[in-house]
Amino acid sequence: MKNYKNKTLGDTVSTIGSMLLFLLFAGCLLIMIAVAAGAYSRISNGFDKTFGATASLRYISNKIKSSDIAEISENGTALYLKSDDILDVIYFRDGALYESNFAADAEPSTEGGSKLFTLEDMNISEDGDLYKVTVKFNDEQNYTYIRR
Amino acid sequence: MNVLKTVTRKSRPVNLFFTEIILALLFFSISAAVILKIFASADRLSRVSSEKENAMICAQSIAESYSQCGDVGDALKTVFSETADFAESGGEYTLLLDEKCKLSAYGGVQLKLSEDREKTTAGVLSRLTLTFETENEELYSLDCSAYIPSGGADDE
Repeated sequence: MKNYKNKTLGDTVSTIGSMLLFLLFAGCLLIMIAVAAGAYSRISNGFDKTFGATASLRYISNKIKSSDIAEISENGTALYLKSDDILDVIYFRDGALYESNFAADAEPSTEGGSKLFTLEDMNISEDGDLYKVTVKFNDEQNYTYIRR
Repeated sequence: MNVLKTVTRKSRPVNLFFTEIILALLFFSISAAVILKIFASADRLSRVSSEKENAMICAQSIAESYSQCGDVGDALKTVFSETADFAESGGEYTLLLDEKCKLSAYGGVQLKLSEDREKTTAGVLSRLTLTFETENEELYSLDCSAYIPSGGADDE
């Protein structure tokens, strides 16, 4: 059995000092984890906000540029893109952007299709000789102009 | 005759836990300094990347509009605002934008547009250089051009 009666004041101060240093170490560690979580969250949110919207804008604008004929339909929520023997339909439905491919002589529809991006809103309008593509993502509206 | 004197001192035991904590804190503080620097750098890179992406979309819109109409003022009005007044100074336009590339009086992004017109017998070839700057550093730059035919050599 240990005999604590021989412990001096110096030993006690040393033990308390060590414990305080350990506390400081643990506190700094917690602060570092909090800072890291904050930085990660900020970067992740910024990435989602910026690239979520611009990726869809780029996709649509590239599709319009590569097509022979572009036609806006359904009050600007659908876009019919004709090139060679393929009709490409890009449309917004139920909070997402979808794409379907049909044969040029087939009857196109805005049902089914492959889901491309999750968006809050998408609208394509004509502004003079330009198409204006507007997307809303994470409460932020982004737009771009593309030549017809 | 030499007398050998021996002095005996009572040595205190070394507190191993104390030493270990001191070493751990030292290692931790060095690591923390490096990690904090990396976090700050990652945050700055993320902000610059976001600004650059918005600048690219904005530049694309201006370039498309300019290629269509061939006039910087009209292109800027189409992209930003129909009512805004864009002042020209020596063939250059300078706009203040925020990080989302919206017009702002206190914007951190500066957009400089420089136009160069070349008259030929067949029309006018206009070249526009868009330069986005932030903190006096170039963020993104794009060259575009518009050709406005004048109906042939007879017009000159």
